[in-house]
Amino acid sequence: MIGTITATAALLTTPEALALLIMGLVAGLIAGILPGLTLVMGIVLALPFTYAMETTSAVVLLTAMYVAGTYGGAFTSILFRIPGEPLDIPLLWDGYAMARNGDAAMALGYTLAAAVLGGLCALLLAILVAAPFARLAISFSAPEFFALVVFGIASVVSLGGGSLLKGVISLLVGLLIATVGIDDVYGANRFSFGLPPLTDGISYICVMIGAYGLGEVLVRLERGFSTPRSVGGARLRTRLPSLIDLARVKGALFRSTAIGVLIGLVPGAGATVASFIAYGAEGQYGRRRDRLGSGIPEGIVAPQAASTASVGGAMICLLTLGIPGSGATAIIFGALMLHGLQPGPQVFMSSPQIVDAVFATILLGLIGMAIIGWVFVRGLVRILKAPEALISAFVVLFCLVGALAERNNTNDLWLIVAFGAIGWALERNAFPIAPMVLGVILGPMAETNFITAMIGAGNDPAVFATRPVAAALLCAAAVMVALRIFRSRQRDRAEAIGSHVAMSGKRGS
Amino acid sequence: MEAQRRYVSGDMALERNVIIRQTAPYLALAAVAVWLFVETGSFADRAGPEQLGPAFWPRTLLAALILVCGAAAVRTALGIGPSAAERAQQAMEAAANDTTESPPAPRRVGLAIGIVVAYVGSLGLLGYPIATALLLAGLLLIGGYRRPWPVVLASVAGSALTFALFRAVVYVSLPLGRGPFLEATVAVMNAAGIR
Repeated sequence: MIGTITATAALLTTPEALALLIMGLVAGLIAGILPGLTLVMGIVLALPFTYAMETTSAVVLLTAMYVAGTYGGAFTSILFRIPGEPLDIPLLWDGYAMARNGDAAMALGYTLAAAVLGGLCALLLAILVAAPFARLAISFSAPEFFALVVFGIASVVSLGGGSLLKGVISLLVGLLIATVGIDDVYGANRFSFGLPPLTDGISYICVMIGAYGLGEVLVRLERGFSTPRSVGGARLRTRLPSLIDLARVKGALFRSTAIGVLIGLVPGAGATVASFIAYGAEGQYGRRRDRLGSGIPEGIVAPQAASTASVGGAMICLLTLGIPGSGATAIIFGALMLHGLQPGPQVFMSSPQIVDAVFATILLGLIGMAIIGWVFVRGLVRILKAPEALISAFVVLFCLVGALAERNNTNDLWLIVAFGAIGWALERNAFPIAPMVLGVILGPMAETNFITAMIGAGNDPAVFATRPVAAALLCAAAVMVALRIFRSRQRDRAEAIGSHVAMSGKRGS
Repeated sequence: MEAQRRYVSGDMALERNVIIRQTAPYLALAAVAVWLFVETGSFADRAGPEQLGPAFWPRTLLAALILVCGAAAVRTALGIGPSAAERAQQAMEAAANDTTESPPAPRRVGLAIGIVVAYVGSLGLLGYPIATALLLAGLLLIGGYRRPWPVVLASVAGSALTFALFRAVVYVSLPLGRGPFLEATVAVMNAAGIR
C-alpha cells in the first residue's frame, strides 16, 4: 500500500512519466472508440515505442492504455450503437436504449461512474491480495507451474465463446509454433527445416502483431469500412449521476465489481467475459431484471463496472503467477519480457517498483480517464470522423515497422505477413485468435516446466497427482473443460427440444 | 420424374460439395500435423536413455491436433452443425459488425496481402521512404480512396513523418535502399534535416 502511494507521488511529480500516462490514456480511449482499432491492437502498436524506454515507463504507457481502453468503447456503444470492443456489446442493450430515450448524457455519466468506482474497488483488492498471493506462488516449483499453465490454457479455451474444438485447434497451433527453433532443455533444433531465421524460433511479438494487428485490418477491409451516425446530437456531454442515483444502483455496482475481479483473476477470461457475465447476473438477480434492455442504469453499470474491474484481477494474475490471461495482458507480459523481466511471483522480490508502478498507473489512470472522458467527450467522439481506411493503412505500416524495430530483422516482416494472413483466415472461419497467441506465449513455459518436473521425478507422471496444488489445478482444469462440454450439450439439447415442440405445434395447427 | 431425380441428385452433389469444403481445412491441418509428426523423428536426440527427449512435447501436441482435427472433420461430415454456444458467438459477432454496409470482399484482402508482400520484398531495394509511400497509396486505394490528391498527399506525408518519427524518436534502423533509390533517400533526408 505504501509502495503504491509512493509510486503514485513519483508518477505525479515526474514529467516524463506523467506525459506517458496521459498519452497512454488518450491512446487507450482512442483505441476503444475507433471501431477499426481494437484495444489489443492499440497496445500492440504502442509496443515498438517502448523498446527504447525504461521498464517502468513502458509499463506506465501500456497499463494506462489497458485501463482507458475498457472505457473508450462506451462512447461509441451508447451514442452510435457501435461496440468499439466486444466487451462493449452489453452496453448496446441499455446504454444505446437510454440514449435513444433522449438521455445520452446520463448514460455516459453512469458509464463513467461505473468504470471509476468498479476500477477503484478492484485496485484496492489487488493491492491487498497481490503480495500474499505472490508469497504463496513463490513456493511453487515445476509441477505446480505446469499445472498452472494447463489451468490457464484450459480456461482460455473453455471460457472463450464459440466452438470448443476450434478453440483447442487454435491453442494447439499456438503451442506448436512455440516449439520451432532450438529447445531450452535439450538444445535440439526443431522444425527449422534448415532455414536460419526459424532456428532462432518464432518471436511471439511477430505472432501478436501479425494476428491481432494486420489480421484485424484485413478482416475489416473485407467487411468494408462504415460511417457511423450519432443519436447524441449537438448537445453531446456527460452528466454524472447524483449520489442518490448511485445508491439506487449500488447492488449492480458491487455485484458486477466482484464478478469483474473474480473473472479477471481467472487466466483467459478477460474484460469481455466479465462484461457479459455481469450483465447476465443482473438479468438473473437484479432488482429490476424485468426491465433490463429498456435503457435502465443497472444495464449500463453492470457491464462497465465488471470490465474495468477485471483489469485489477488480470493484473494480479499476471504479476503474481506470470500468466497473461487476456490479449492485453499478453502484450504487457511481452513488454516486460523484452525488458528482461520475467513476470511472476519473483517480481515482488526482484522488482517491487514495477508492481507499485502498475498499481499507481491504474489508480491515476482511472482518475485521468474520468477527467478526459468527462471534459473532452465531444472531442473524443469527433475522432470517429477519421476515415477508417486511412487509419487502417497506418496500422499496417506501424505493425510492420514495429516488428522491424524489435530485432531489426527483415525476416520478421515475412512472419508478420504470414501471421496476418493466418489471423484473417482464423477469424473468417470463426476460429478464436486468443488461444493461438496465448499458446505461443505459454508454450515454452509449459514445456520447460513439464520436462523439468518429469526429469526431477524420474519420468513418473504421478508427480502431478501427488503434489496437492498441482493436482488441484489439473482437476480444476479438467472440471472447467468438462463443464463447458456439458453446458454446451445441455444447451444444444434444450434447443433441439424447443425446435421439436415448435414443429409439432405447427403440424398440429 | 426424370427432372425430379436430377434435381435430387443435384441437391445431393451440392450438399457433398459443401461438406467437402467444410471438412477440407480440418483434413489439411491433420495432414500437415501427420507430416510434422514424421518430421520429429529427425530431431537430434540429445536426451539420456531415461529421458523424454526433445521430440516428446511436439509429438504430444501433434497427436492431440490430429485427434481434434479428426473429431472436427467427422462432426462436420456427419452434419453436426455448430453448437448453441457457437451460434451465440456468431450472433454476438454479427451484432458487433452490423454497422458495416458492404458485402464481404475477399478480393480486397488478396490485393492488400499482395501489396504488403510487395512492400516487404522491395523494402531493401527501394528504401523505407519510397516503399512506404507506395504501400500507403496502395492501401488507401484498396480502402476506397479514389481522388488522387488526398492519396498522394497522405502517402507522401505519412511516409516522411513516420520516417522521421522512427529514426529520431524510436531509433529504428530503417532500410535506405540501394543504388539510385539510396541517393534519393539520402537527398530527402538531407533536405529534411534528418541524420
